[in-house]
Amino acid sequence: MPQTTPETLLPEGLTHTTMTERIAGLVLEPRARGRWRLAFAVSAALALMFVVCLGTVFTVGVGLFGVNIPVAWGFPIVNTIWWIGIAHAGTLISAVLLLTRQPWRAPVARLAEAMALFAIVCAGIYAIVHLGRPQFMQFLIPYPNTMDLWPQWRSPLVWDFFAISTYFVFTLGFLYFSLLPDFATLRDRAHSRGLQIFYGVMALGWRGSALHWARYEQVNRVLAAVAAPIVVSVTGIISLDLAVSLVPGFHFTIFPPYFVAGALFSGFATVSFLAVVTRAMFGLKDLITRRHLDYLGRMMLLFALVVNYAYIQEVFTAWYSGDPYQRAVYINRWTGPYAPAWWAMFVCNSLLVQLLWFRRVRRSPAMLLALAITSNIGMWLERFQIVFTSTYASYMPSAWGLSGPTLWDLLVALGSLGLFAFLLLAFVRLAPVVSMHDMRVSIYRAVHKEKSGD
Amino acid sequence: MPPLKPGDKKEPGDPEALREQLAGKRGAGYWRSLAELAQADRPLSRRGLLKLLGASLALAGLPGCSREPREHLVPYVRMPEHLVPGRPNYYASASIVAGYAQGVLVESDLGRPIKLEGNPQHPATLGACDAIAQASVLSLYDPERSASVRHRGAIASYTECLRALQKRQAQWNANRGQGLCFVSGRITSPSVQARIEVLRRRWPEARWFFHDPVDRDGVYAGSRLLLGQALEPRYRFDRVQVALALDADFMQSQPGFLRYARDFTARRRPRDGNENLARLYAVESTPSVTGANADQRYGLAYPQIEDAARQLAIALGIPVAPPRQNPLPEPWIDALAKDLQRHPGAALVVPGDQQPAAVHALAHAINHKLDAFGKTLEWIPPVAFDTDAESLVELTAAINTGAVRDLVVLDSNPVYSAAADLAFAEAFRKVPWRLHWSEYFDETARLSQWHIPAAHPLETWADARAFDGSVTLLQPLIQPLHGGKSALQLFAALERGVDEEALKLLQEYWQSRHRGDDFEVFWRRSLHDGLVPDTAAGAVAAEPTAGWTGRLPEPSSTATDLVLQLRPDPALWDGRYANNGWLQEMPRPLTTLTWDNALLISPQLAADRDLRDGDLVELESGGRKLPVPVLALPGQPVNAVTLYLGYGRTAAGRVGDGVGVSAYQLRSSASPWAQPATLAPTGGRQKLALIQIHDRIEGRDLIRATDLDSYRRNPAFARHHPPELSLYPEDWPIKGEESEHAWGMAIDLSACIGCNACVTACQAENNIPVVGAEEVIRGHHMHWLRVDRYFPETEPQPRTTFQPVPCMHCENAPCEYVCPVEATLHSADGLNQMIYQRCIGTRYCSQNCPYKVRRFNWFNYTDSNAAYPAQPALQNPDVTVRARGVMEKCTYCVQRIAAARWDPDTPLQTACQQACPTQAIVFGDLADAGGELNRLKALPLNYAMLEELNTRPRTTYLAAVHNPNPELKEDDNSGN
Repeated sequence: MPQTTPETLLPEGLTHTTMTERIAGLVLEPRARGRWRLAFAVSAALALMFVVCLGTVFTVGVGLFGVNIPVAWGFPIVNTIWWIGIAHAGTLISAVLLLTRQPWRAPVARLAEAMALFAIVCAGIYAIVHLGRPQFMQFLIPYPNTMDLWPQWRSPLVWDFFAISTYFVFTLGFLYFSLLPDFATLRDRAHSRGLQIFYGVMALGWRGSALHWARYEQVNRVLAAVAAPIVVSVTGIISLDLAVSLVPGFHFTIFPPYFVAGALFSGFATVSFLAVVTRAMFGLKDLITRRHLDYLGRMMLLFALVVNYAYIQEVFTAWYSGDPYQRAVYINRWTGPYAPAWWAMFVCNSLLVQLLWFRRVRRSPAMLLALAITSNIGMWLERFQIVFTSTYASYMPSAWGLSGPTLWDLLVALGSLGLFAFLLLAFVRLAPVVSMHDMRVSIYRAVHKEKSGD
Repeated sequence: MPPLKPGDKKEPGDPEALREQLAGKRGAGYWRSLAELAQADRPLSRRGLLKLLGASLALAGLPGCSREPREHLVPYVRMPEHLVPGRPNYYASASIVAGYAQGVLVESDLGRPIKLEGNPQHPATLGACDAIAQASVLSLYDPERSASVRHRGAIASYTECLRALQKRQAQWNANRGQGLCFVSGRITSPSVQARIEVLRRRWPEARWFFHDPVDRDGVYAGSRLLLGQALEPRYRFDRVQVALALDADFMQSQPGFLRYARDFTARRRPRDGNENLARLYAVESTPSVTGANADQRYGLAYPQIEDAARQLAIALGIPVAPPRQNPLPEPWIDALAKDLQRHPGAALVVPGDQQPAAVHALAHAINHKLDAFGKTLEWIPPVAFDTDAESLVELTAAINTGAVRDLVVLDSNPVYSAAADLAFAEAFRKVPWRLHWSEYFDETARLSQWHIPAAHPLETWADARAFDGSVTLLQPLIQPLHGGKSALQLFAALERGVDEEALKLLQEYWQSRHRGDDFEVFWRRSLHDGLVPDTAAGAVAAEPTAGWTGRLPEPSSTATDLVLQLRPDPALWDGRYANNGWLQEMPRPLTTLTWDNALLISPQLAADRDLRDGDLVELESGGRKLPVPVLALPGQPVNAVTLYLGYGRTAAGRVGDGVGVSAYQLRSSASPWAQPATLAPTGGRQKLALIQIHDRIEGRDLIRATDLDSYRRNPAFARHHPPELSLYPEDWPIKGEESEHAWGMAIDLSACIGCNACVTACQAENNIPVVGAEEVIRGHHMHWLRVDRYFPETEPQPRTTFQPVPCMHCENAPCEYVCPVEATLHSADGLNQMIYQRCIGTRYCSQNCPYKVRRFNWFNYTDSNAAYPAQPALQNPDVTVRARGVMEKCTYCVQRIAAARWDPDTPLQTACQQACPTQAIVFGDLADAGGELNRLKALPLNYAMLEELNTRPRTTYLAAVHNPNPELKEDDNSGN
């Protein structure tokens, strides 16, 4: 990580007051901006469609999705892994940057945390609706019952269930905790009685006393320290859903680190995407600077390289194992009916990201936005080819069979994006999109350094 | 009764006047519903309408105070003997497949027949059960079976029909039956035969026509040509060492096929220490089960089969005219002739039923030359009654000359299944009085004035003969669900115009025939055994008549570019089973196609014409055109295409209508089985509901097979995989969890012929739903057991291989540890069990199953709202009907294992094992050290599929041993 100076990360003449006015204003201004209203309306409509589609799937049957034997997991599982990848990166970015005291963390951390929370919501919904009988999903919980039935502890899906629920609780706590001082600020600045009460309740009596801050710092550090292992282990467990099986193409010991790297790659891509969109939508170009984008781009590149290393390892392992079934999976990935997905993934995740070596590309919001989108598409395709090409043609040629997305798959996928956007847009109108108290620290440090430097 | 007009001259009570009034009227003029009244010719006046409205209103309250339905809801004070709730009873009966009896035992659960098993004592089945017989129990509960007598399409009563018949009978009596014609399908019933004789005596001018789309004319014509009399061949495969099938699918579609498959396969599998395996050659026009099992196979178009027969006859020194062109290569015919000659008295040539008379004559002349008569081939009098009846061609001609006044169609559907050039439907309409008797209100019924529903064979008393002439009495398992009439009842009605009891009629016949002491003893024994004693036809001495070669037709010279061959469908036969979901969804052997009849073309033709599977072509033959999708099938002769009969029904019912295309629309009556054709791509495409999409085994070590020589050198050739050693040896059974039993299965790949009877048996036993073509295309089919078939990867081909794959019941099951809710677990006796109530449908078990034997309920397939709803009365009460969203799979018929616990005397068999005609599937107890299963598993042939995954499957395979002719080994033997 190159040495950075806070000055270039903060606009000239930004004081505590102007910063707080601007950021709190985004939340407290009575009429939302037109662009936000349009985006909110569209995303709300999509979220509604999501609910309707899932209701249909629930009442008619999970066969509406493009799943069959042998491809028993289709789009729902691809999307679960994809959303979880995005979710994991959000928290890890925020926590790791905090622990490593990266000065450019402040404007992007909140976005990353919110993104993590809403992505895990989408992932969790997908994991539930792909079940044949979601109405009995409580069987996954080890609750006491008269028949003495417990979950199967050897099954990675049980680990998965605990991982996702743990992660959801943790993300919610981490985000909410870091919001407390900002909620207090909003409470104090709110003009209407209703907002005062709302933010007052949300702030949980935060008064900004030294004792509060001391506790806050302590807890925040602890949570951040806990975050890293949680994220790594949760992503690892998700990958074990696949790796523990004996399906060629799933069965790789490399999967846990590979999935963590993939999650971070897609996570940084998503944060970049949100950062570019937010700074354009809310006019925060001076707070989320090109310098920030540059750092995000570097992180994307770093993890893209790790992911590519994993690809190479995977192929090497398949070849070196000498197992004809493993080898056949790779040859099928390159030449089989789903080969376009693999090659598109290769273009997105291996070729296009190389543009990030160039500083001009990293600092260009448009380019970064484009690369963030292609990287997320690439990561989606990576999960697609893991789930589809590993299973459509496994051991028994007689059982080979293709499966493709149905209309319901596409509508639900679109709907989940809509739900994600809906939650995020609602969030930015209810809570500060940039952490005000972290910005205050940055400004304080900048001013303090200026003074002491003079 | 319609009111008499006031001006009527005659007395109101005068019977003559009444009859006049009633002439042409339906019933007594009562109406049972407003709809029926509305259909009456009387227009509804305003006053009439108001009266009806008033009456409706007044009557609307009546149902509330109606009496209880007259049912006897009296509990058993004393239980009938043999009836224990929860335990089924078995009754011997027969299922009629293409006219011939297949002896079965019908499982009846509290009065509901729910499953058919083969009758082990019956000569045609020996305990096996084919798919068509198996599925007939589904037809019993088909809600779309004809449920009432109909007159001009409207529901009528049987009494009305009888009255109409009486009126006609008066006329027939007057003119000795002139203008009266009967059309029937194949009849083998002796009692019906006797009835027919009575009818013929009574109305000697009446004419009898025979129409079966899958006729066997060639068999009788051929024997007449060669032997001077119409005789039926009965093959003794238990004595055959070398056989040649001349386009004969004797393992799947000729009368006696189950018996033949059993007898012949017993000589072709090495598991009983037999090292001298019988050899099978096949020359065939369409890849069939028999051809796929042949050690040497050659594909020739239909017209060339006769040439091949001539070629062989000449090679064996029979003086017949040589063919214009020798179709079989020299080395092939030499090796074949030598092989046949080496085994006099143990060689057999089997001609196909659909081949012309010349092929039959030639084949049996060869048999005679090979000393087969009386050894591997016996001649019996024809089993079916109809060998000298006229055909539909003569009937159509007679109708068109106006010679037919009354036409009675018996269990036949000529409007659908007549050859196209006869234009039978138009001709049929010209007949003034038409009566139709059949189980379905089908295409012919719709054009008939009178339709009488036929009773299902499980609903009534009847008798029928098997391929060898032995008679089975059919007994009813249930009252006719839709008031159908049996054949005997119908003939009684035709003769006397009365409704009589089927039992009485049948007993009358057998009493007249019975020449023993106590009839009751004879009757009960016949019913109990499912076989009337001493009815199998005795062999008849037969010799080729002098100069038969002179009567042989000239060798044909019709060399056409492309021949369209028609074949009976392996599942739907001639189309009569089209409304049966089990049969529609049964993967057709070799193609694994369901719910469709694609045009089978050779892969080379497909490549030449740039056709992919599912491409629509316009098939033209005899000036008629038909759009049909193509399917490339290895082994199909390059100059021949094949289309199965039985599809394209328009009045079969909800299941069968519009499935596939009707090959009858191209059929010509002159050459019903093969005709020149052309095809032109249309550019359209159609999705084919194939069960198995990938045809090649990709060099994987799933099926192990070798030839006899290498087997003799190394009997343990299948054990080439080194045993997997583990650093962590696991005890099995786990200490402290040993069980009394350890269930396992061995499947003999030498014996499996790929007929798919086991698939349908499993479906019947385990309440497996029917999902329909669209779901099959999506990969949602539900069969617990599938028969994999792989085409050879390289030419010259070794041969097509089959492999039944049920659940392997792995001791180290990959499905079990991944299920998060423990919905799939191991039982102490080694079963991998599904707990449906616990399943939440993650489908991880299926993902992790290397054998892909698990099936998922993607939708509610059994619901009454489903596309093909299950018939609740048919469901096996011992098997859970699975809900939407749960996984299911083969259970080794756990319900039978459970039942065997309190009934240890009956042999425990799985449904697939029981149905298998060749005993390829052996289920048993590994804990029984002396048992058959342990004996098979100890053979060097035994191997486990994918054993390198350390799944330790309980289902293992016995590697296949084939017996190709060593002299032909290096040669191309595919023919294409």
